[in-house]
Amino acid sequence: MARPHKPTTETGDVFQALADPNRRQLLAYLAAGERGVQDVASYFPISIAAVSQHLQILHTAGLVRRREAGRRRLYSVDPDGLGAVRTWIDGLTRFWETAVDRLEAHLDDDAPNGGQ
Amino acid sequence: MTTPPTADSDFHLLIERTLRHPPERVWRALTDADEIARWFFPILFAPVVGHTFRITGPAVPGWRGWTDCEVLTLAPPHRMVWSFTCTDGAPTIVSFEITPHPDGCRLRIRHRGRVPPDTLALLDQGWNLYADQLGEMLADS
Repeated sequence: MARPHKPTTETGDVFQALADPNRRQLLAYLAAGERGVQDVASYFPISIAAVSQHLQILHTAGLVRRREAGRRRLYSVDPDGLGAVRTWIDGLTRFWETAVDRLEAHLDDDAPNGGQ
Repeated sequence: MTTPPTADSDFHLLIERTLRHPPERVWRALTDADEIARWFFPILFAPVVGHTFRITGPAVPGWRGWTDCEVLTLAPPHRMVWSFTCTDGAPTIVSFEITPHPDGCRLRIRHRGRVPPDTLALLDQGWNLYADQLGEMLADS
């Protein structure tokens, strides 16, 4: 039977990652293109350490991709990450559709003479 | 079926079905623990407002393995509302509505909840537009 799905990766929670307004702004900034930690930190009034931490959380949640370029670490948006939220909502729909299918089958089985 | 959200952070699902059974029979299937176990989950359900119960199962990728629920409203044989906390976020709301129908009854299950602000807007508007709006917002501040 379908389960109510939550958009998680192995260890990250997309909802938790998106709950923080700073992280949503970082995400929107990265949507314009791939950026390094320094670039991000120079754009937002928060420390490099804080930027790194936010990016790590976004990465763990599957919302951003990361790659090494020489000594730089570059981040970009992973479009599949946000899609997980839509997938979660679609999963809930399937969960209830399945439940109602089973309810209907149960009621029909229980009433061989047509339900009354 | 998904209806348009009322705000960009709301989701609202509606599942509707006509069942060839009278409302009282469907109500019993929805509120009797033994019956619930035969089509839903084996939960310790009691048809009492304020009653809490947990839906459990093996954790799978995407589900932590439990959902905490509370009965919020009971109006036999027409309407029942649960809070439904299936993530670490805020509770969502599930309502079951049974209305008479010439063929038996109509069952509507609604599931409403919120996701973090702007999340659905991000999905719907696309990244580039959002980035433009952010740029404008930051430029104005």
